[in-house]
Amino acid sequence: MAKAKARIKVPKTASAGEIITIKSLVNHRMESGHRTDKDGRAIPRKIINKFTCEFNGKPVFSCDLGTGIAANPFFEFKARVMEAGTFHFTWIDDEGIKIEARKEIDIV
Amino acid sequence: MTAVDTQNSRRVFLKHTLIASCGVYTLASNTKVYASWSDNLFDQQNLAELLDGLAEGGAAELSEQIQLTVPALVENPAIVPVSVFADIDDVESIAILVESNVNPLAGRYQFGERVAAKISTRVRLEQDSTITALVKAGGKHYLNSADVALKSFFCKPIKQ
Repeated sequence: MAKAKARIKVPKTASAGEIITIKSLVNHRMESGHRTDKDGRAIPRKIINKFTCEFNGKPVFSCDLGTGIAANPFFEFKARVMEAGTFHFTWIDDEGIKIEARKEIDIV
Repeated sequence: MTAVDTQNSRRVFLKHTLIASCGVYTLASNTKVYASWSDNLFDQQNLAELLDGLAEGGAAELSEQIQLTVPALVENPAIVPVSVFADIDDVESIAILVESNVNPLAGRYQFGERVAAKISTRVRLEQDSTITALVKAGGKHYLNSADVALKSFFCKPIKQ
């Protein structure tokens, strides 16, 4: 398996109480389980089924995913920051493989 | 396609009212227990049962406060951008359904702190489809839909 790469966009700084936009993208095939290989055998399902984002340990955003999500799942969502801290992103796939990433933000 | 024309929205409203009332009838006529949320909704292939399960046995109300932004015509069905903005207070979760997919439920998004119920993602289409966003807010359910058509020379999802 190719090494999973996560790309995240979080502003480096924000003012206290500001609502910021977070964009996240991770490399993953999101194999739906509906396709067959050239010999007609079904390719087993392998998708990311859970994505969570926490800020200083508190949940900000989470989602459960089905087979209808495109490969390399992309999400854009909003969060309010009151203090400086770290966003912690976790993706979990069907085989239980965890992809993690962190981003820090400062208050100005 | 943010705006849905009146005739279409009435049709969608009638359709979903019918589905929802069937759901209420089923709920009243037997003692089926609705799991609050589980993986099997992602495996559900029957749209009516899925909507029923998502609305937790209640009726989802058509709402113009949900802004669903999707392209009307797509070239690549493997990557279809979808944006949902629910201008409703106290949004707990948003579910995105691609109605003609084998498993219509694409994703369900939950908000920790209720800041702004706005999300963008990318879904996969198997054929022309109606995309529905079902929003849970303050214990009630709301939905809105938009149609997406594939360009004819890409009738099947391309290999990615």
